[in-house]
This record gives sequence, structure tokens and C-alpha cells, in this order.
Amino acid sequence: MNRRENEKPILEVKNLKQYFVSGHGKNKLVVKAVDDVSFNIYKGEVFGLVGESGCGKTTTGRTIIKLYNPTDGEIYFLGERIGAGFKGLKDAIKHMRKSTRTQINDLKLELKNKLLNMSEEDGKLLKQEYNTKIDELIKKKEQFILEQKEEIANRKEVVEQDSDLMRKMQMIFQDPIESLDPRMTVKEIIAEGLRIAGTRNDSEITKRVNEVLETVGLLPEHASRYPHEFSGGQRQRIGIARALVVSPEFMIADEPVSALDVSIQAQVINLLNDLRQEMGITIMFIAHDLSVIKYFSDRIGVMYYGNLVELATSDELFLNPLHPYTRSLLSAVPLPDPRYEKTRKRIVYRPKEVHNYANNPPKLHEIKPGHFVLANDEEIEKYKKTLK
Amino acid sequence: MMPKTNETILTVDKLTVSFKTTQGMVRAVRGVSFELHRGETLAIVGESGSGKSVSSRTIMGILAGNGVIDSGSIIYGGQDLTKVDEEHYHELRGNKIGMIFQDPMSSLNPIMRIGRQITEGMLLNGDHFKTRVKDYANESKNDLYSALDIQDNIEREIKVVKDSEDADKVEKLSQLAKDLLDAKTVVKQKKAAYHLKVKEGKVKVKNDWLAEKERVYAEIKALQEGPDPKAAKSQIADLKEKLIRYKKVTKKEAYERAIKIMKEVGISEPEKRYTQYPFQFSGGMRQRIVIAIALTASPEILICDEPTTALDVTIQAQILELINELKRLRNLSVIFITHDLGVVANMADNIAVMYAGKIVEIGSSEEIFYSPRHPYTWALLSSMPDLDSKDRLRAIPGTPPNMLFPPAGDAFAERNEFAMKIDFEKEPPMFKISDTHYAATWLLHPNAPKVEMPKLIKDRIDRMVGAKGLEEHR
Repeated sequence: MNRRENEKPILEVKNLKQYFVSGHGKNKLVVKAVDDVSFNIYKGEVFGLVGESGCGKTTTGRTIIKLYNPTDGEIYFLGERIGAGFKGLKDAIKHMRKSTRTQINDLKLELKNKLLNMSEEDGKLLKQEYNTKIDELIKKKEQFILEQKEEIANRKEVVEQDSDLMRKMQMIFQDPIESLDPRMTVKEIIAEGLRIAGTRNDSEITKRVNEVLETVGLLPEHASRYPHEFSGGQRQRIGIARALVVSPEFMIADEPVSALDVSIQAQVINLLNDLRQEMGITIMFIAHDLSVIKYFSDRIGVMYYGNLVELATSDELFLNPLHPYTRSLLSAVPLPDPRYEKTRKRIVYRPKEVHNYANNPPKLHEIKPGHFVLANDEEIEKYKKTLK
Repeated sequence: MMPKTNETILTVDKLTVSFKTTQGMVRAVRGVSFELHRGETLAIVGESGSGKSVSSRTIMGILAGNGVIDSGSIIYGGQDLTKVDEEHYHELRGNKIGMIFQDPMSSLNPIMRIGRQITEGMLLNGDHFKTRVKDYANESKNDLYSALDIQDNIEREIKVVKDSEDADKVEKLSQLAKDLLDAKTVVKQKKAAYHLKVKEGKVKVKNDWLAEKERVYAEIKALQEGPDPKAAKSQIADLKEKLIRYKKVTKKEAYERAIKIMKEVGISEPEKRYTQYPFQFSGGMRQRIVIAIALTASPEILICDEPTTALDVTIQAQILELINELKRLRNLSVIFITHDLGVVANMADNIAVMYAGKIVEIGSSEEIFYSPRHPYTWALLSSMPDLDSKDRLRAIPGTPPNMLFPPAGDAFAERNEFAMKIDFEKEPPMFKISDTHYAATWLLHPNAPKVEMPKLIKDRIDRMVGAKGLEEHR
């Protein structure tokens, strides 16, 4: 795609990692929920993230909006760094310390051996020579550690700072029942973001709340009611109104329609579509339902076990699914067509049988402009042949 | 597809179910009729609150405490299930009609090992003595029931006559009182006959058991005194096990059957899984266990209440394949409840679309998907996102009606863009389209204006049918 070169992304995710650690000692368990994921999202587009439950798509969304602090990697939003992890830097420091120590030890051993068959005078000279060498190594190490620590401090600051920028990013949650406080009225729920942002004038708040209620297809008189008085679809609208009230530029929609009936689903999808066309809001849409994602997204990223395995425009992905996992996912989509369904063959994805990554680990390759796939060199050759 | 001409296994006729609430009666199901044939899948599709789950729960006899069956019948095996009392429902529920629920986590006991949950039913129903006595006395029990039925009917009639203002009220009442007396004596006789039969059965079963025991012990003795008593040891153990199995289902037998069924539903390493707890299973695996439990008693009918709604696409496809496979192997009849039309296309032979407690359209799956007639079916189809187009989805405006006050006329009229004046006044009857295809909409009345289905669906159907060169269907 050409737009990539002449346009700056609204959100940039670089080598994002999110690990969850539990237990200590031998019981220590590290779950790599997101493991090295990178992608860009451009202004005005809908970026779909799809994968089975437990593949890390929700964690990715939550890390971007800083509900979690990333373990490693960087997140840029509107050109500014909003989130960054430093596990990689810490590891680098550890590695540096270790390698310097072994180098020094090696030098000392060498010196000792050489000193054995040498006069005292020569020995002194040699010692001096080696000492300077060691000093240099230590200096180099210290310098490196200082740089890294500075960067860590930088990143820590990013983690701690509470910027106005974050208000431009909002989230819609999956379960419209659980995500609304049953003891708050709709107005209180929607206005909470405004109050936190510093608006105190009640008439101003009422005006703004009524505005967003109308935008999402509810009535101003709904503002004084409680969430339990609404149906599932209406509650999801309230969730969307809450996100909209602070005029965000970017929204993360985490499975907003999975818990809804088919007919209500269509209402919510249409609403999101309108918002995007009228207000130009960029949306990151997380779902496991491929037909919804295909309908709604411009570009789709497919995730599998914490990795982004394929990334392409939605038409391209459905025309040219390259990664075997994408294919198996596509083959599982049920369609309202009995004759097709009776003959549909499902492809099963068994990573151990398909891939051989023992001596050639995979990387995200751009196989065609705008179409990325996780593969090693052999597989790239294979995929290139199947490209249409 | 041609309609299957084989036997009808379950007939639901004009079933009406309400729930008593503090605000009044909620009319959840309002006159649902359908037939289920052996070896076929009937899908019931509708929004939440359309009464699809309530209908299936009524068939299972597990309505909530405030649920009332107002009228209608459910005929299964010559019996009207709406009249069977709780004590005798035990013999049907699970054994003849199995059910799978939506959420596999909440339908399994979290502190009980999987193996025990699967074998529990087998062990509880495993007393062969009891079943044999029951079989022996079955005929006279049915006699007793029919006599009781007659008595009930007379009592009901007396009530009706008492409330009425007829001129010959007194006369009628005295006649009915006489009838009732007769009926009561018949019931008494039948009851005595039944108890006698049960007694007889008990003696007979006991004698059979003693004879069997004697026979086996003689065999064992022969083996022990035979040429090689040591070698016969395992044989003797087998014989003893067989003897106990004549009496009841042993734990070993239940274990063997559980392992077999777990293999059948596609659980690898069943011996290891047998001793694990539900939390050690993934969502799809848990749903497989639930299916295994439903299958232990080899039911004839399997009711699946949204079995895949809580699962994601790949796992959903696996579970659907499993249900289809089991249906084929065991010749099961399946009632499949869902709100997702996409899932249905794969599974169903026949589809019933429900709205506000009524079936609004029923037909074979090809008829429903390729030539839908009811505006609600159109709306459901057009609100689904399509892989091939980016046209704006046609969402159904508004919400389903409040079933405390079911609307007069067509319940869907308020949300229907094709509604006519009559839709608000009079309820449409079921119009016949073909032998298997019926729809309840005034649009099918000969005097109604010609209304074409929305272009969105028409295009889609053209694409689906046309792509395979099957134009003749339209």
C-alpha cells in the first residue's frame, strides 16, 4: 500500500511483549500472552484483530490503552511514546555484565600463565598493560549500563506520566452488562470521563451527555435511568456513548458484539460504521467472528498464541490467506448457505506438523506490499508460489 | 432436499406456556406446533426471549417453578408429556431425551471428577432388579394410568358444569357423579391389580436371580474341582463379575462404558482425563464431556440449547461436526436451538423460526435460506454480515414486544416495514407454501399486495444459488 509512505500512523506498536508472571521459585510460571507483536494503525481506518480465545488479542488491546504496563516494546500514539517496557534493556544490562566478567576473568588467567615464566621487571610491565585493558572493559561496561539505565528511566517516566493524550484513546468492552456500574445512572456513567477530564459545570455536562446519547441512538430522557432498565443492545450503546463523550480520535472495541443477538449485532455494527464515517474515528476492532471482522475492517491482523501470524487488507486476506492458521480459521466460518455448508471441508491447524522452525526461526515478512506473514525463508518461497 | 418420510418421534401441538410473575402472566410460548422425525435435526431459531428455550425446556420437563403449561400437548411414544408427573418423568429425562446446555462450565460440577460425573447416571439407574420388576408390571401400570386419566377428566368436567348456567345442570351433575363413582371403582381395581403384579414381579425376579446364582456357582465349583484349579482362577473372577453385573451396573462396567463414550466424543487419553476435574479442561473439551454425559443413557432425542454460543469459531466448528457425526452413528433426532443462522445451515434438515412465542416460518433448510417468505426471516438474514459484500446491514428496528401484554395481530408488525393494516388487527394464520414450508404472514394472502424480499437478501441468494448453477430453485 502506498499510503504507508506518505502518512504517519496514528498508533504504532513496536515489538510489544506482555508477560504475566505467577508463582516463585520452581513454581514460577511465565505466560507469554503477547510475544513480539508490531503493527501500525492509520487515521480513519478500522483495524481488525482476530484469533481464537486465549491468543492474546484482548491483552494487546488492554496493553495499548495502558490497562497493563508492557513487559517490553514501545507504543507510540499520535507520534508520542505512551507506553514502553524495559525488560529487554534490563536483559541487555545483565548480558553485558556477564560477558564483561568472563572477558576479565579470561584476561586474568592469561596474565597469570604468562607471569609464570617471566622476570619480575617484565612482569610489572605486563601487569600494567593488562590492567589498562581490564579498566577499558569496565569503563565500556559502565558506559553501556549508564546509557541503558537512562533509557529505562525514560521509559519509566512514560509509564508514570498521565497525559492528556490518553483521553483521545477510549475503549468499548465486551460485556455490556458487566462493564456498566449498576448503581450509577446512565448520565453518571457517561459523564464520569468528562468530570475526570476537568469539566465541572453541570449544565455543560448535561448538554454534552445528551449530545452523545443522541449520537448513539438513545434519547435524552434515558440519562436518568439505570443500566438494568435497558436491553443488551441499548447497554452496548451506553458503553459506546461513554467512550465518545470525551471526543476520542481512536477507539479500541474489544468484542463489542460477541455477547449480542444477531439482529442487535447489526444495529451496533451500523452505529460504529456511522461513527467512523461521520466523525472519522479510527477503530481497533477485536473479535473472533470472522464474518463480522471481514465486513467491518479495512485491515486485519491474525493472532495465534501471542504472535501476529498474518496481516493484510481484509480483501487480500480473504483472497490470499497464506499462513496455515489463517486458512484453518477461514475454513471454520459458517455461512447461511446450506448447499455450501454440506460440502464445506474444515482445515485443521497443527503447528508441529506444518512448521519446522528448529534451525530456521520465523520472522514477519512483507510478501506483497501491505501483506505480512510470519514465516521462515523456506516457507516464504512456498507462499510466493501460491500468491494469486 | 425432500422431506423425510420416516416415522414421527415427537409431536408438539399448540403448546402454550406462561410464567407467573408479580406483574402478571408472561406469555412465553403461544401455540407452538411442530413434528420431529427420527434421525433428523430440527433447528429452532430466534432472538433471545422468543420462547425457543422455554419450548425445549417444556419438552424436557424442567420448566422453572413459576412456569405453567396452559394448553397443548407433547406426544412422545404414545404418551402426553404435559401430563406425566415428576416421579415418572425420571424414566424419560436423560434416558429418552437428553439435553446439552449453553455454558459447559456451569453445567458441570466443579468439585467432582469428570469420570464420576459421567458414570453417576449409569450407577444410579444401574439396579437391574428394579428395572426388571418395572418391565414386568408395565402393562398393568399403563392400565392404571388410563383409568386415572378417565377419573381426572370426569372431575374436570364436573367443575366446568358446576360453573356453567345450563338449564339441565342438576341432571348432568348427577350423571357425572355416577360416572365418577364407576371410574373410582375401576381405579381401585386397577391399583390392586398393579400392586399384585409388582409383588409377583418381585418374586419372579428373585427366583430368576437365585436360579442364575445357582447355575454360576455350579459352574465355578466345576472349575475349582477341575484338572487345573489355578489356571481357572481368572475364569472364576470373570464369572463372578458377570454374576454381579446380572444384578446391577458395577463400577468397573460403568468405567468401561465411560471410557468408550469419551473416545466416541473425541477426547484423547480418556483414562487420564477420567480422573481430572472440569477446570483442567478447555471450553471445547468441557462441552464434549457434557455431550458424553448426555449420551451415556443412549437417548433417542438430543436437545442442544445454544451449545456453541460460548465457544469461538474453530471450537464451534469441531463441536458441530461432533454432533453431526453422533447423530449419524446413533440415528439421533436433534432439536438444535440457536440465534445464529450461520450455524444452522450446516446442521439442520428443518428450520423453525420463532418470534414472540410463535413459530412464524417453518420449512426445510433450503426453503428457509433460499426462498424465505416471512419478513422476520428476511430481517434475520439481512442483519447478518456477509463475507462478499460491504452493503449496509439492515438491522431490525426496535425491540421484541413485551410478552406481559402480547400485541393483538402479528407480533412482528411494529418492527416490520412491510406491515399492513390487518397486521395490527388480526393474527395471520399459517399459510402453506409447499408440503414442508409454512409461514405466518398476511403477505401470503391472495389479496395481499405483491411484496418482494429485500434486495440485499435477493442478491445474496442469487450469488449463493447462482454460483453453483442451480437457477431452477428460484
